[in-house]
Amino acid sequence: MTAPDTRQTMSAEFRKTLSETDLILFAGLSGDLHPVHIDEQSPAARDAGGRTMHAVFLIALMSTAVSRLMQARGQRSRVAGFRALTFYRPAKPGDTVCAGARIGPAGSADQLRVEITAMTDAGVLLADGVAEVEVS
Amino acid sequence: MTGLVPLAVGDRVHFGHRVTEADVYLFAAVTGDSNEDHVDATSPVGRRFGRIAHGAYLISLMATAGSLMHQRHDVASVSAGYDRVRFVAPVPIGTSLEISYQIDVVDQDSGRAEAAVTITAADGAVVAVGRHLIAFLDQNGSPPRRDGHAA
Repeated sequence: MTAPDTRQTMSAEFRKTLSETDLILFAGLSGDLHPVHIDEQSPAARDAGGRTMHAVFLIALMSTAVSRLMQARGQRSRVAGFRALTFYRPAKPGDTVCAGARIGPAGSADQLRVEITAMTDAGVLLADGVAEVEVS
Repeated sequence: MTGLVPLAVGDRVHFGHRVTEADVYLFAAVTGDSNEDHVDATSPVGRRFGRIAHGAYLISLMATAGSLMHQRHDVASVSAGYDRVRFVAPVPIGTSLEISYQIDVVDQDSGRAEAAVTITAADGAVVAVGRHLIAFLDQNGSPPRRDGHAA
């Protein structure tokens, strides 16, 4: 009996319900204390219908999906970079975000182009882009 | 016509930050990415370089620079995205970083601007680069969406 070929795994996802703790820790970690993130009464937060998560938090969740994908494939790798990271809508504390990573048709065996997305539980696209992954 | 974009080519912000163990471990905790490269000193990467910061953490420092630029003018804008982000060298815990963010494209017609962002270590070596794309909003709150935030 042969072991399952983990290289057949072409996609992975990471889901997380974003918490107040995530927002505040991310603000402190990044140093991005813009009022839209931390001041519910600020004009920016009022315009947005409440404080929003940092857009880069969505990149981090998509990056986690890439990390899970490569672990599922059993391949040591590193993300060499990102291209065309685009933000469509902000996420808010309480939203459940599904970050997805799928190996795209372009790229090669040791230079993968991984298509990444972040969506709400209802299927609204929040952000997408491409991760360039080097397999070692 | 006075343009919507309150920035000029060459406008620059920069700041320094030393990457702490707490930065890396809390980042792993909030993002769910506890890959061994970041939290296992005995992993291959850990033994070779030390535990290293997440790439997305470096982008978050780029975004913080964008937020500092935004707070200079406070004109409503959104972070439209990032492009051509490259992680050039590993960033172990304890590395002192300098984040430099400079506007190099201003397009008043489309209400857009771009910045080149470079992160260097204390020895001057570049560890990460990227481009930040900013969209300014007219009074109708377009384009492309409105949350009043630059980064």
